[in-house]
Amino acid sequence: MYMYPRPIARLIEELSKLPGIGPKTAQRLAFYLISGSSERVHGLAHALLEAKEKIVYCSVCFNYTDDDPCRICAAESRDPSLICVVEYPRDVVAVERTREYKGRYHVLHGAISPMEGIGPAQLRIRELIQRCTDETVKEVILATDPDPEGEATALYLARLLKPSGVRVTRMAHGMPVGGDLEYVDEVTLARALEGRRELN
Amino acid sequence: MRVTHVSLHEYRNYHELVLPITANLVIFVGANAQGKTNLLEAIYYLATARSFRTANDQDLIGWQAEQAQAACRVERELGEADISIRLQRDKPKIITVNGQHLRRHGDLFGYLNVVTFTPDDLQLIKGSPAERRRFLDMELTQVSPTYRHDLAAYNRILKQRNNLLRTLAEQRGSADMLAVWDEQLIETGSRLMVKRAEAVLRLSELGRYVHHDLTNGKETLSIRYRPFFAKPQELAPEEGAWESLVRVQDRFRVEMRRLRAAEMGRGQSLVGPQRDDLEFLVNDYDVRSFGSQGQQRSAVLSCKLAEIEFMRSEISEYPVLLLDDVMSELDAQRRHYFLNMVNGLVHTFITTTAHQELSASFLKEAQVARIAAGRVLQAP
Repeated sequence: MYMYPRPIARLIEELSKLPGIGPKTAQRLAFYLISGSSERVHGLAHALLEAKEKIVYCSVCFNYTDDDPCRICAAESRDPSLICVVEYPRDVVAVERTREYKGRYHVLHGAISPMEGIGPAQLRIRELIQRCTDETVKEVILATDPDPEGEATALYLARLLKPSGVRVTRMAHGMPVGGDLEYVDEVTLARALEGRRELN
Repeated sequence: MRVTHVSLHEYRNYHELVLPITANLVIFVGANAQGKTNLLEAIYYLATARSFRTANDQDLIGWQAEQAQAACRVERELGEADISIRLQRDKPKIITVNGQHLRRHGDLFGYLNVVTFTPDDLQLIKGSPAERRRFLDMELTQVSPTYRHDLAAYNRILKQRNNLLRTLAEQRGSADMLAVWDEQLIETGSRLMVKRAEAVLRLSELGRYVHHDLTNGKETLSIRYRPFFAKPQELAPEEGAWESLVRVQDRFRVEMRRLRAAEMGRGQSLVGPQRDDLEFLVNDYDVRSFGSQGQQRSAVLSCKLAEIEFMRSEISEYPVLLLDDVMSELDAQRRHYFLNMVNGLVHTFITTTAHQELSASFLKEAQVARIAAGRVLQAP
């Protein structure tokens, strides 16, 4: 039986450890890389190393950053009285895309999940509470995912923050804007009906 | 609703099958292990994207094949639909309806609705509460997308909560984490329970009517929903009592508080709709404890016919009926009654080893297909 030369086998092995990459895709990627120019491979290797070496957690919001505190936490234009709590750094990017939010963030790096052994201690929750003791913080927006783990995390944080007197809000369920009613999935539509409001 | 065409490719023991359906009553005849049930399973699979026999889709791919496909054409009042599901080894299945790829598998529900009746269903009354809950869930998930969503979310919440309770029972973890799962269990669980209560109320009305007819007016059947918090001696409340979400949530919360210590000790959830049950009363007696075997069978039969009517009232047309090997389990009189009720109204597929036991009047109009080793031989 023919086996790949060891370096190729190793590369395929490493690539297939990445999330969403199966053995077939790993093979394709490996051959793509090998067949390309050596500069391109160097570029990729360099980008990987640089990202790993230069990226740290922001000491304020725990988002990934190459500059501590991160650009958002350091910006004068950002309202320090408002904190939006999200599960992952990618969620910060999602909220930023709205270009409407002018407050700051707090990244938990996960959600409470007893099945995976993730409790408050494994998340950046203590740091959030610490931030909220500062009097400038007036409102915390809980923007964890609307699934059981995200809801559990939001409920937990709401309880924890109650004594601090900070206003705690949760993102609304609702209709996507600009779409046709008929294309909205039934569950979203049902929740949006539940949360209907009066027009005056 | 009718299935007018079924085709299979490398599905279970079928290498290649193209089967036009021409009659309202379709009978698959053959010895055991020839592939009769595989055909019904395929139709069920095309309705729900799940098999009623295996949780693993890979089992459906033919021996030695890399991929399989099941497809059917459904004729509905709203028009035709072509449903196809392609299965590949170690890859997600691909579902298309009318050539459109469905991104979410849940979107398949509603194109083809089915009611199944198997020998296991005869255990509906005698069997465990889990079977009765599964019976309820089967209808509700087919007709209600929000129920489907809530059921999936509920099972996830329950799993998380059980995990936490287990760590608490082992004296690890902290009890103040429980509240966030309690609240979600009550909220999502209560929504499921209200839907169940409503469905059982309707099922009971429909069942009473059928059962009266089946027993020549001698018996009155009523089906009652028993929420997990109902006390053993507690009389079923006045009709509609469990349809109020607030009332259900209140009782849920009270029961949870009452069993808190026990849950912590056992490391397992002891409250919630995963412990609900159904009760079947004939002339006000519980058939499970006091009914004869014959009475129990009649009650199941009425319940199944009520299920068909329930689906019709939800989707405005009759679902497709799949009878797997169940006719031979019934005596001639019940068999005749059942088929008479559905005949001409409900598109029905039957598997049997001995079709002679069906009366000639049914056979005359039926499409009889002989099944042998994954092939269909049309009977003369």
